[in-house]
Amino acid sequence: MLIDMKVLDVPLANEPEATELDLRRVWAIVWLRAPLIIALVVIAVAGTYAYSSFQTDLYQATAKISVVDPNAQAVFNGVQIRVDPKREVDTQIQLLRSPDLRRAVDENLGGDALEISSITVSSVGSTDLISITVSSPSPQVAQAGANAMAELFVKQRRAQVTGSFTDRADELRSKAREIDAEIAKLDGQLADRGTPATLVDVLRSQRSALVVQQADLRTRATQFDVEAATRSGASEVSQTATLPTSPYSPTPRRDASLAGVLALLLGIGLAFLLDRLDNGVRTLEDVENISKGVPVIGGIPIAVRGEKGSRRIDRHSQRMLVPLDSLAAEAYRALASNLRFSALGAKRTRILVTSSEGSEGKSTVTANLAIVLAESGQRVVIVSGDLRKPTVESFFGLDSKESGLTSVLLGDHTLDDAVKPVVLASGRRLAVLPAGPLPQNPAEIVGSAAMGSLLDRLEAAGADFILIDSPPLLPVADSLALSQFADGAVVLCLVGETPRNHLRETLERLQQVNTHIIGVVLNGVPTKGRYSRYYGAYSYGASSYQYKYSQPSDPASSSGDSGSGSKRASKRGSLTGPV
Amino acid sequence: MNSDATLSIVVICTGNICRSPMAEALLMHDLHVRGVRADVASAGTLGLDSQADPNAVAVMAGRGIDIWPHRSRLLTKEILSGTDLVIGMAREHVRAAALLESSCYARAFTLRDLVRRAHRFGGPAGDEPVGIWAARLSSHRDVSELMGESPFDDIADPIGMSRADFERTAAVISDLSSALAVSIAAGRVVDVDRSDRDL
Repeated sequence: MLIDMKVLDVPLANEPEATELDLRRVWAIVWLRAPLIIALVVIAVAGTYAYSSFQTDLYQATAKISVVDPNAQAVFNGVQIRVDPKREVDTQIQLLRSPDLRRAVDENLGGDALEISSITVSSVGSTDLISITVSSPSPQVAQAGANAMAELFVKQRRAQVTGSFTDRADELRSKAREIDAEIAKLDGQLADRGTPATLVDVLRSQRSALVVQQADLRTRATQFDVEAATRSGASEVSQTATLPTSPYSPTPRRDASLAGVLALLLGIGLAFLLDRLDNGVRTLEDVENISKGVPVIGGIPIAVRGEKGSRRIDRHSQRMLVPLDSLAAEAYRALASNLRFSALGAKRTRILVTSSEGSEGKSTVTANLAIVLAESGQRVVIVSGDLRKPTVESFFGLDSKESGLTSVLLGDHTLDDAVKPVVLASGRRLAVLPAGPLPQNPAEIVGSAAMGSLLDRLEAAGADFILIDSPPLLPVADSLALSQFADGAVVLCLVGETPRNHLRETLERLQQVNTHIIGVVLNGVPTKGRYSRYYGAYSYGASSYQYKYSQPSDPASSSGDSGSGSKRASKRGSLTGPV
Repeated sequence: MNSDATLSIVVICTGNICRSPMAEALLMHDLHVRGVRADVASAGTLGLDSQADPNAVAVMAGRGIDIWPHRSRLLTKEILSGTDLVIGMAREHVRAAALLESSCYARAFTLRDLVRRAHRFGGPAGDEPVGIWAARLSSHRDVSELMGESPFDDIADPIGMSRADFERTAAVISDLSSALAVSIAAGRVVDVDRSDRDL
């Protein structure tokens, strides 16, 4: 039973899981732009830290006042009403924020008031306390400000609450003073000798009544005074501000870490945005997503100039015949092996080498591929089918001014005359048919029936592979016209340059005319750096073996492609031009 | 079936120093404990002349298998001829084998692909020879299925990597190898004595 379970396990474990692939894609997007994200985070953290550190030190002092008298009760029509403390606190906070109070504080502090940076008034949790926090570059000002504000507020409040009592007392006193005048008037009448005796008695009783009334008023005024004095105003300073010893601001570490987190999120967002905007073919997965079943059959490593880690493409070396012992040659051998293998399934003699736009390396790849195929014993003919900018022949020191494809098709030369033999250093041979004089109507010429019969004759002459170089497929019609005579097409794309939609369209157009696409070849595959891990084995080839095992076995025992690894070492830089 | 016939299997990788020596030993072991008489060999497409990688030797020693005496060799037509199964560690090895000896194409697979196909179609039926069974598994296969590289077919080359990477590679190969051995053994009349003793 255990064994049976295992049989089930293995194939299931090999099935790709969609979520896993999605995660890999997300990770790839982030990983490929990691330098950008890291740079953003570093700049944000360093910038914020520096900015924060250079800010003036600020000190904070807090005083607390309690605003609700625990015994505060209102009696209204004989019913006791409990004051809502929350509402009371909110009311007091609004009062504390009034500009009048601020003006009073400023007056109290004098010139120091200018040093107050900010004042914050807030309730302390769910208590009846209100905290007054003053921040200032000077700790003394912060403390003085907080205390002054608390004290002034309490005083103001008391004045408000006691105001009604003192007003009443004042009113009573002024009434008492008015009575003074009346008494004085009566005294004047009493002192008058002419006042009749009967009236004097009346006046006397009037006067004593007024004195009693006045004394009563004064007593009541005093009662109000006492009342006012005993009222606290319902608020008091519950905690005075102490002198702050260390600044509360700036906090460079906290600010910097916050900025770092924000920059990280921004950077990741930016990475996804850039991925959307970046249209170029970037990873093997990009190509596989586009090619849908068309295999990627080769990856030609990037030729990098300069120090390690540099990703600058050496444009010159990228367009050269590669030394047979190079990593690039290894890649061409793998490509050649794929092409030869594809011929096991069906006839794949005539191979159209094309790409979507220009400058993706068609001629370079054609020339190098032809050499590698010839080195493995295949009979190879290169046909320079690019009648607009013929270049493949120049790799072999040939030019196409005299005779070539066009002159054969026009009947000016025979095929035998036009096909030029090239002898490689190893003694192997290949043949090149240059483009010939450039015509006015290249698409018509390469699409003519004569072109087909020319390829028939080359094949009949015993060619194993006829590699047809061609102009870019999207801008001109030549490649599609040529493709009708080809057994299959190899589509090149330049990593990071060929737009994904161009590659997609190129493949679609070839499929529309029923051309078999043997596979896609990636040119300029990075061998080092961040991107290299997205090309699988294409980015390292057999190089690990070269470093680790320096003594290959006898090359004589090798045959075909599989022996090429051992031949490599003995043929360092052994390519030659035509003989 | 003709249970007396000894199966002939060749395992291929690039250097014949890391993956294929481990696969050779594991497959040999897995087949033998299931009573399948088999002759498993290995070869590489590079043609190195070397012992197995020290990490491979150590990892296999940890599994109780000694591959110290192994010597790498170049894959040749002769090695391929007369084999019942050709097993590549990656697609490129299957291609190399088919290009050397096109007649072996029908019985050449990557290990992962072979195990998948064996799981889907079952092991050899009754007395079906393994070579015929292999041809049946590959009958509707297009060459494009073996072109390029694929993470679902290829077992990555651990060369130059750490002991832990070799251990992981060995574990992958071991799982696939025992699954393959089960499939092959299922259809065969096994040597009862052997299977009783070893299982």
